[in-house]
Amino acid sequence: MMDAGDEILSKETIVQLQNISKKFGGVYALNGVDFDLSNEIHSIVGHNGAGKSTLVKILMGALTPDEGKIILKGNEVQFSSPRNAQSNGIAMVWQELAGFPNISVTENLMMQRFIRKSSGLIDWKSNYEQTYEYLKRLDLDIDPKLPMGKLPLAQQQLVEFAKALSYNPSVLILDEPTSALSFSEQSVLYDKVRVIRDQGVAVVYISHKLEEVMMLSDRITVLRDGHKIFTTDAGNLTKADLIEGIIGQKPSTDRSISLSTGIVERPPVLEVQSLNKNRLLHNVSFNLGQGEVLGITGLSGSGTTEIGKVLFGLDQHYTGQIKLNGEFVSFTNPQEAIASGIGYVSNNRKEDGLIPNLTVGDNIVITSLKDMASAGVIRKHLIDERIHPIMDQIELRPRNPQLLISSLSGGNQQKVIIGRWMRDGTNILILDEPTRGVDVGAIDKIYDTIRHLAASGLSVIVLSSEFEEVFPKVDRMLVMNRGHLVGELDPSKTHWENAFEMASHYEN
Amino acid sequence: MKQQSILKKALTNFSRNGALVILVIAVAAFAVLTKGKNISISNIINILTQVSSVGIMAIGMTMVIIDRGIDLSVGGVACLSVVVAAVGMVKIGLPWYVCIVFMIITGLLIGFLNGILIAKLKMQPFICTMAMLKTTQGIAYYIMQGKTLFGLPEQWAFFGQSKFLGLPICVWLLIVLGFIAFLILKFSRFGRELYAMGGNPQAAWMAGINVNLNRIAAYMISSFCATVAGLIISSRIMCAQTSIGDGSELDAIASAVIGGVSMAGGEGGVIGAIIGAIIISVINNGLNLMAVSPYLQTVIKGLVIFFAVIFDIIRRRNMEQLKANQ
Ligand SMILES: Nc1ncnc2c1ncn2[C@@H]1O[C@H](COP(=O)(O)OP(=O)(O)OP(=O)(O)O)[C@@H](O)[C@H]1O
Ligand SMILES: [Mg+2]
Repeated sequence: MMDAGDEILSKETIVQLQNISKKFGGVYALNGVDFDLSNEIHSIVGHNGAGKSTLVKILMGALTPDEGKIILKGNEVQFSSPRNAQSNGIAMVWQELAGFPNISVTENLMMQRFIRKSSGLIDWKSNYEQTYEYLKRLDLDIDPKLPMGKLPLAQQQLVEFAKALSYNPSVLILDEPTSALSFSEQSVLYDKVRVIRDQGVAVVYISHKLEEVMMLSDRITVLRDGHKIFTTDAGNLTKADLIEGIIGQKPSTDRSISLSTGIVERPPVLEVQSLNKNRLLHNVSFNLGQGEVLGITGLSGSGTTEIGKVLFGLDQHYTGQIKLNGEFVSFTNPQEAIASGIGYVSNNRKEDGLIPNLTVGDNIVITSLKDMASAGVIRKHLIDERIHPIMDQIELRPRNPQLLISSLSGGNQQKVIIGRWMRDGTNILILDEPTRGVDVGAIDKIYDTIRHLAASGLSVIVLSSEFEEVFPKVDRMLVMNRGHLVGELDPSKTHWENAFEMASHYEN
Repeated sequence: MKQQSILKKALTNFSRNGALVILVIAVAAFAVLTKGKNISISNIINILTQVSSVGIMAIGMTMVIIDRGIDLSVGGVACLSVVVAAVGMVKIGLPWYVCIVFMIITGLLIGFLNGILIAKLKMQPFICTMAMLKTTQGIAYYIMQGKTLFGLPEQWAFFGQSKFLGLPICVWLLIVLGFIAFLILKFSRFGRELYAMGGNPQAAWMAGINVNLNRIAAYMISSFCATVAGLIISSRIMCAQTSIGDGSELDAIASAVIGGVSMAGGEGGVIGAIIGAIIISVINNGLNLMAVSPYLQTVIKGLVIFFAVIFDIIRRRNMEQLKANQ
């Protein structure tokens, strides 16, 4: 490992970013950052809003730097658009999915380079075959004719990856490529990334998953508040060093210590009885206690997301009973669920959560405009009273309610979406992959907030495929395996590996 | 010192509203070209009177467009509601105030229908309201059989011809409705939710917003505004005829767009839309004063839309640049 690192350092530099600065609205997103890249896997880590995406967007020509130079293979370049960068051999998988949900996978992949017949018309058959071949390189078995939006998020992310690879780039940028992937999908991606590195491609890898960064990278660069903190060989670094670099201080507590109160008897607020959904859920029954933080984990596709959808009234195609505070309910839309005190954060922030034309403040109060208004008229001071404590609780960066939410970094957007459910009317909060794309510091903060809310009587369900991360944070853990509820664990007594074992166990 | 900061604030607000800049330029240009004729008090009142009906339609149109929709039926609604009222007054002999109620009910019903079809049945707004335009116009044509209905009671003239504090009642209607709509969009729950729906309908729905109800309300407001516009037009010409409201949907949309309302939804406001309507009217009026051929006037109107929208795009880009360099 160490040897490999040394050898890579001696390799010639492919891309050099020199003294890059970029300001948004007077604030530095990047401040004099140097970054160089050779034939290696070079990770960039840092807290939400540290400037990671901004840096690679500059390299990709999606943003122009205020200062600094980009040197590609010895020549100074300035890309005017991502397309321009693409034709110079740079490809990128964007953090926020850039695919078009309404058109087919093939069109998404082949856009601007369709295979044509001699007549000039698009040769659909060849395009489908070509696409299938591109997908096969990643062991993806996806119908190329399907509309992109019909695929689960994880597969969309993999299609984006396949698309980037299909350009045979010499530089590949991956901005949080695994955030929606399941365990097995992640390892396919890791393998592939290593293979292309060995084939001579220079890879920039951005992720909040530190284990993955440490395992995969040759070198790691840490950014904090727009400054480069250091670049170093991955082999020289411990996880604690890395966390310290990211958050700027020594990690205070051992993050794996269980916060669970143990399984205790609680009055049930929610009772789910033999929930069935064609091929996706089989006889799922469980209770949620008052003030409990319940984790439901499973590999992606195991049905956790479906449970959330049913409980929030997004899906009526199920059989089984749901009792809320002792009464049978069946919601036909989110509004009814919200009126009964349920809050929900979907795993697809961009489509289901963000309202891009509104400010941070408006995005927070959107769930409670009713309480902010008397006789239909919005009261400004009520809004201020509500958003300020929430912004503190989620540690929003920058802490400015007037900013458009679309200008925040991905992780901060997620915090705002969670924050909008911190309101009086919410009794049960359902979070589907709540920490996707959220930095180490903020993950802890989000769970702190959840625990805090639970202590004041809120009941929380966390749906997740991050076994290790959620395990110490919940009071009780249920495990799903291909639509079946296969186990219940007490995190204060067992280890997360047990949950993972149950979730991936395969029986015929 | 204080004066200076007020001035500065006024100037930044001014440049923020691109439509206002265009309006000032247009007024100034015609003031030169017509040797000041266009800024005589009587001509200004004349312009505002002309603007009132389209301006009011643009108010409702703005709400619908903010919700990513469009309402092509406003011309038909204006026409049919006038025809209903006129038939009530002239043929049946009902009192004028009863007929106003009928008129408004007609408008609200059509708006409700648009809203239901679009919100619940998920019909495309463009298609649905286009069909509604044809339907309402057709019914009006059928009732009128190509004739014009005169003999409206004299009280009817109040809305288009009487004055209050020197301004025609129809201009007051524009001012009052515009102000109410401004308050609704800016400070009411409905208004804030409408912007959210325009930004991301799916996310708005999942945040618990009653998307269907709001959408229906937006189309009802648009139809209501169209009805008031019809009332003003018929009051000015004191008769009912099928040409009322003809083609006005495009003027209303143009006003909104010139005024900075984004067709992509979620952006813009009624003040801009009303200024947009005034711009169109100032230009029409100025060209009339200069005796420019009406055919050429249409061309110029088209060019103004191009110009206004391009200007708006450039202005926004500069604002962003300015912000970035601060
Ligand atoms: N278009 C924009 N307008 C204004 N501010 C922006 C814009 N894009 C980014 N920023 C700001 O620049 C800073 C850096 O954002 P960036 O997206 O690079 O963060 P990041 O490190 O990728 O974070 P995350 O891990 O959350 O994705 C943030 O404070 C963000 O709010
Ligand atoms: Mg980012």
